[in-house]
Amino acid sequence: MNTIVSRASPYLLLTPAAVIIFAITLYPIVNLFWIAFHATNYFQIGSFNAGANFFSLFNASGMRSFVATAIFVIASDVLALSLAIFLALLLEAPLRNRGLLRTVVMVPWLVSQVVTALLWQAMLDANFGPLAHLAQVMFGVSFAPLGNEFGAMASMVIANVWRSYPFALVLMLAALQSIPSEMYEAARIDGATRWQEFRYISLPMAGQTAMVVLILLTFEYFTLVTIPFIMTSGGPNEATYLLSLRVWREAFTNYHFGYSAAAGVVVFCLNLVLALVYIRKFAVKGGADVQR
Amino acid sequence: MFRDKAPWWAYVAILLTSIGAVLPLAWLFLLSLDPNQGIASGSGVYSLKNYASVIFQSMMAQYFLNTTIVALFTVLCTLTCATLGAYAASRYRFPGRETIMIGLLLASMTPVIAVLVPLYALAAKLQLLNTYSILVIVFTAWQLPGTLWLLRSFMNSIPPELEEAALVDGCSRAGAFVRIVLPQLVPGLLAAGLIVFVYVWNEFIIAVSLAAKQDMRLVSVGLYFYLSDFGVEWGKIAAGAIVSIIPPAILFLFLQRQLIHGLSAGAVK
Amino acid sequence: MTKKMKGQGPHLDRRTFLGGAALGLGTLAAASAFPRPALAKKVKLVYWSPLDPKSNNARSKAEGAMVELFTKSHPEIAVEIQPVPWQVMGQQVIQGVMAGSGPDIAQLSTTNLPDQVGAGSAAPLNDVVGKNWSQAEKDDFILPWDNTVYDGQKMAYYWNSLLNNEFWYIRSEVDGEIPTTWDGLQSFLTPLAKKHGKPGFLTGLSQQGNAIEFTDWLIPAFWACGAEYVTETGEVGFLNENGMKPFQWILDMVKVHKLTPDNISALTRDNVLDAMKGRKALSTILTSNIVASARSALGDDLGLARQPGPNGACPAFAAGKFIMMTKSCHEQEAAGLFIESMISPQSQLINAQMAKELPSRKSVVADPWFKTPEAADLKFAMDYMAETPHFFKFPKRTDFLQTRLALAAQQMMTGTPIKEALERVATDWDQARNG
Repeated sequence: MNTIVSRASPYLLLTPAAVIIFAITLYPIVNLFWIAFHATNYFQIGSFNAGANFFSLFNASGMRSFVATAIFVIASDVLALSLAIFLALLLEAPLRNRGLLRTVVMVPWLVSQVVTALLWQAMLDANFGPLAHLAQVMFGVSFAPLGNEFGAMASMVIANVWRSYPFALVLMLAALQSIPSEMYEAARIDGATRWQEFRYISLPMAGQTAMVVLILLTFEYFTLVTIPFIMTSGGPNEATYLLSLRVWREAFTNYHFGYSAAAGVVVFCLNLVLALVYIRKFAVKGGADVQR
Repeated sequence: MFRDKAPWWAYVAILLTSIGAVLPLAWLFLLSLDPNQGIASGSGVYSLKNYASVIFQSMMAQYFLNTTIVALFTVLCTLTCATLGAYAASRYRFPGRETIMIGLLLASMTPVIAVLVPLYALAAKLQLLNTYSILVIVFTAWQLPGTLWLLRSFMNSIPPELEEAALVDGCSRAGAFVRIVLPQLVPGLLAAGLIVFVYVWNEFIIAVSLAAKQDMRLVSVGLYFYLSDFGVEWGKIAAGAIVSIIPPAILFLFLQRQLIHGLSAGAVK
Repeated sequence: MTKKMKGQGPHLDRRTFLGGAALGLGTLAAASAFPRPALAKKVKLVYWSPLDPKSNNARSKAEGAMVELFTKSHPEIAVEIQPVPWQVMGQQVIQGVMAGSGPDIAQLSTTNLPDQVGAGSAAPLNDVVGKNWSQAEKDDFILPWDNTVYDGQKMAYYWNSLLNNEFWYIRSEVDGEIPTTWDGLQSFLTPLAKKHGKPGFLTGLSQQGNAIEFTDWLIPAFWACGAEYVTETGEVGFLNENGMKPFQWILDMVKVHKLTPDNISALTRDNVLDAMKGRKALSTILTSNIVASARSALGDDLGLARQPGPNGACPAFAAGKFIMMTKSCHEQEAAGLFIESMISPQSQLINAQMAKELPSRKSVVADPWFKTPEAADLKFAMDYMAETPHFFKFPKRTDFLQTRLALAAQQMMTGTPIKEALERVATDWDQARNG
């Protein structure tokens, strides 16, 4: 009797978590696939239509979404991660007022995506934004970054990085802090340069966390919709029309639930591929920590 | 790398980043003091009118209450379920352990944006639209896998010897958990709790889909709904945004040390 | 959701779901026990409006007064106003009604009606509103009766009238009569723009808010050029020489005459309104219902004129916000009474006087108040609408078409030939209509 209980107990302990997670995610995913392969008329689900809903994803406009998503995700990833690593290395140093500096640098983490989007939209406003004002007063030029394709994408990436680097920084700081200081001391005795310390101690020890952070950021950026929705509406010229925004707009502006679900399936599958790579590389080895 | 001594340019670099981090918010604060509704004015007049109107003439207080309730219950649910699960995954060996853990992780990779419509339909079917419950359940589901993995690796870093000694001394497993493991788990729980809290406080897409009704809105939804029919009321949005940052900021100030400590103890081992 | 969806796909009912979740989950069960907001006594109507009753502006107060007028004469019916922003009102109503949690009544933007009808969220009003009305009463509406009739059923009533294409200008900087032709406007504005160092004409091509900032003046420009927005058979009516003219005009304003900045691709209606309030441009084209908002910032400095066109002023593009009963309404009789009250001449006069909204009823305009200087802006709009009316019923998925047109204009700004961009719109539109 006792052994049965003790054998069952790990499963019982995991049950609440598993029930909640699967109850909330499985049904919507199955439903999503179902809708993606059916004709829809507003909210009504019609007959099976094979992959017809996916066609609209593979025309010129659909391609722009793939390109925009790739640019947005990769640029944000590179900037946010390198900024986080760089700052983490610096904030590990025995700075004066280190606690305060760490706090200040992390402040944007507390700002929601809604506020981020509204804030940056206002700051970059061509007529009233402080940046436009500065450009006009100091250089006599007009400054309207949201008005052209490159500027809009760059603005969105910057706003996104501004909001999301602090969390990456927290994880990187945590990883660096867990490196035993004896290792550095030993290296110092051996006469290692700073670069060598970074290359042969920090990087290998914190590299795995960096990869985890990279993948977590990628997931987030892939499915982010609030910032383009509020900040650029996907424009100009669909330059910032991310796949995620397409999912949203097809559903709630165009009422094409089939198209929306099809785009959603694509996003899901891309996520899944990444997830599998991630799990093979890191999670199975154990110990990697994950937080969205 | 710079453990013993910080180079001079470290200060410069951090200072620049700090400015970049804070300056936009400082400007937002200035905007919030401008009593004229519109970013047009720049009148040089400052007042707390916008704050008064946000606090007393809108539902902001209700939104704060809603968000606080939802966030606290989400934290509670997430930490409870995650701790139980993490304990199982860390202290027991059993068939299917890694499969279950990976399955949970995979489920968490569902993109929110892609399942909004089915999620809405599900919530409607369960008659849970516009309730605290649905928000708590969905947020918990979304935050659980990450928290579970975090707490598990944190627990892995707590040596099991003390626990085993307590068991030998006749303590029950639950007793040993409460007396030995839980106290050591506190930094991890605080870090995870803070992360979940901030997530809920700032979430928009799920909240606007499942609880858009006015008296059930969360803070970020309420802020978005300031975009009115007759032009954006920048002053009020700015004031609302500033106010909305205060609660997570206070928590963050108190828990900042625990955050990094909690994560680092649980990090790569 | 719909019947079909219920039958197919995985099924979960509330009890099994909650039962499962509650398994070993004290905390969650506690959270589930939160009460949902209780429903009220007698009869209560939930009314979704883009106006926040708690807000301090004239419009919200006017709507409060209109609702009060109703509740005073019907003390047995309580009305709860729940504000929902206009940008998401359409989707919120459809979602809400499909889920059985929608309002009883909703007030929506003018382009949303066909989609509400298409999605099945609007309930027919033939037997609910104006059952005993005489023909004269039906004829009292400024906008055509049939604009809100689908399959023989009256689906909504106009809550106000809107004039979509008023030409706004800054009086202190633009003096003299505003020319009515595009050529005249260009030569008139060019020296002024130079003198004041700011754009002569501003507009916005952003897709935000379903691109109304752009299409509100584009559609009447189509008409003035002899093209159509959507033909009676549902095809696009602008894929021709005439339909290309308005695009050529705005392109010339940007590229040739430099009267319009080249960043308009990203501008929203809010941006343009803010810009006018801050005197950052000499002129624009905007809607009648935000004149009062701009006037509070600009005072007498805001001038109004007719939208210039190719050979003279464009026709007035009149529309209106509408009020409808949803399919999730359980108190149809009360809802009918409420709608009748909101569109009654009495209510409409309140709205005109307090919020400067154009009334939806002709008879209201006869009120002496309309002769006062306070009503000048309304008078201007009414005259424009009365003299060159061009009524128009929005097709299904019009929001989609509008955002495609804005996108086409954005593409033209970066060099795509006009014809090519419009052909894409036509293809997308056909696919959207049939797919």
